[in-house]
Amino acid sequence: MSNQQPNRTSELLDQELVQKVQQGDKSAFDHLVRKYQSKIISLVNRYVKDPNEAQDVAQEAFIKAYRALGNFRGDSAFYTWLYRIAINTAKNYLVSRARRRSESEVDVTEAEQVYNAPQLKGMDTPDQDLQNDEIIKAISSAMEKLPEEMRNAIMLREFEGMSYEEIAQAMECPVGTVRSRIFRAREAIDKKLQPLLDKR
Amino acid sequence: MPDKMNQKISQFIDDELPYEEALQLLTEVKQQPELDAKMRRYEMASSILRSHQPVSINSDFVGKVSQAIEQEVVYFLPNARKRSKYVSSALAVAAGVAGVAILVANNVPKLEKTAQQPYVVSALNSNQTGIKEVHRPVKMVARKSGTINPRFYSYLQAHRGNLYTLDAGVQSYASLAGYEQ
Repeated sequence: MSNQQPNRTSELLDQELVQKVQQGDKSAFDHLVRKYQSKIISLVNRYVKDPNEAQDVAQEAFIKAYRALGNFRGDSAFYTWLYRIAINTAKNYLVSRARRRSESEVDVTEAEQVYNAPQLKGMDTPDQDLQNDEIIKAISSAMEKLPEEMRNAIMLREFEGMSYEEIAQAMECPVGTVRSRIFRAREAIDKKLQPLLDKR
Repeated sequence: MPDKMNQKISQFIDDELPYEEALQLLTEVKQQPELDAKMRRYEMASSILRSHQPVSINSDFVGKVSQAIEQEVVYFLPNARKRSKYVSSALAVAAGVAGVAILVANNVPKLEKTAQQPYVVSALNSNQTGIKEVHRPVKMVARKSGTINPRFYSYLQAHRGNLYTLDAGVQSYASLAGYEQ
């Protein structure tokens, strides 16, 4: 999902899906989860700083959102509402984790030194770190090899958060060309990314 | 065909896909695991480009949430569609107009009643208490009835109460008699 707030089209889709869920269609909630999973996991990870725990907390946030959806009246955008739930869930999780840690400090003092080791404190394992580095390098390399027009298009999209229309104006080309350049850039990156993820 | 779908996924993660197509795409992604995997990889690449933070999403993330909510018994409130300001304003105006219409409708019969009922009261009052302005209903009745004797009508016009009473506020007997026509 983009790093901007969802646009009007996205909000319309959310409204439609929320209404379906409120009418009892649970499968419509799957669409909302699929649409926002990346954003919410990424958001929660900024607080929790552990990719595996972030997934669990994000999952809990989605479940809380589902339970509260009957009270959602559309006064704000769905994502804004979900975002608040996710942040609260992450904060609550941090409080309970801190409590658990302080209890374990009393019980197992020896574990303190190991637990406070920087590489283990809410971070990936060394193996995961290595894989992540590999993925980042592969993507950087794929970006460098892209033709300039494709690279510019995807950079304006990802780094600047510009819409296709804005990119088309900046690059003086039709919107359809922007759409195609961004897609082809993603495909080129994906060709490098997929084998690395399959190894995991 | 796969390219077309992949391009739609690319548009979708950029919030550039029209919402009808987005809804259709989500349905297809749900049914086809390879499209789901593609979407997650595109999102991961996006996340790395933006923040150098790979956000890996388990392939069963949606499934787990779905499984959890499947067991939930949630009673949603009736779907309350948000009413727009324009609709609210229109309803307020309509209610106002309806209110005025009811008031007017209630007052019309009262006017007719006042034209009919005060005959005796006015006659008594005019003699005993000297109520002012009681000559007005006479004109209304005379105009409405249409059956008044023309000669008597012209007599009433010629002998208006104020001529007799010299603005003392007392209705003349002749005017009062006109009520009975």
